[in-house]
Amino acid sequence: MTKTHEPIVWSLFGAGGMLTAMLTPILVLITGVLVPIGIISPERMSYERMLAFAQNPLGKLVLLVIITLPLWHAAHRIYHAHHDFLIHTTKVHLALTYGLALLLSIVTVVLLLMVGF
Amino acid sequence: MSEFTANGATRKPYRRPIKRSWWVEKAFFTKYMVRELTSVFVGLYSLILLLGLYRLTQGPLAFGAWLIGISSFPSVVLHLMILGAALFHTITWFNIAPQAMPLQIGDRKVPERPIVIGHWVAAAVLSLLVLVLFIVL
Repeated sequence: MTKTHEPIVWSLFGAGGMLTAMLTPILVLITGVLVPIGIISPERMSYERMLAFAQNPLGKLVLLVIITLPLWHAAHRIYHAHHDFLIHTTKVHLALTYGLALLLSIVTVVLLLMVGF
Repeated sequence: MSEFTANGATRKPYRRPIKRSWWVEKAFFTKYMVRELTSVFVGLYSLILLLGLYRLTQGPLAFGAWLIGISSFPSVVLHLMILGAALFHTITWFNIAPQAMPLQIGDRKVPERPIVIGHWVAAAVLSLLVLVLFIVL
């Protein structure tokens, strides 16, 4: 990647940062706390419901956004944090941050297609 | 470390020594570093959801196992940590929003406070909407 990758990944970082700020707390609270401890019925997250959600085009879009954008946000921050720890970044670091975000984004798209319509 | 300049001559610029722990010494820098590292938890949450999606494609048994996994005690503790990190991210993100996206109406610059409050209102409305949709749908 050359210097020109910055505007693209920065916009993904910005969008991811905003989405994370707005929605991640409530999502984590629901899927990671309220459903697991039973305040919200685990039935709400049953296989049938989640499958129907993942098969709905709008549901697919929601899942794509809430899974991939925070990954780009994290990749950007982790990549640049190397500098803060005085670690000189190489192509390996690029691959393990932005590259991994790209790979996992592709995996997300593939899984969303595999889950059917 | 020596460098080459445009005409090929070497130069040895002075670099002020920096300790790797520079961010521990001042609360402002530590807060900055904590903010940057919240992204590790945020990324981890995406991985958990991605794993759930993968298990969903494998069928009801696989997805059920994922559900049991996220219902375990260590998982709830982990998610509470992710929640803390996410909230720290939200606070810091909204606080710098006026500088990141300055608003201007006509010739007047919109003051910072309403922009920050506007972000919190949007987050509250969206969160409530998500919660209601999750319970009702």
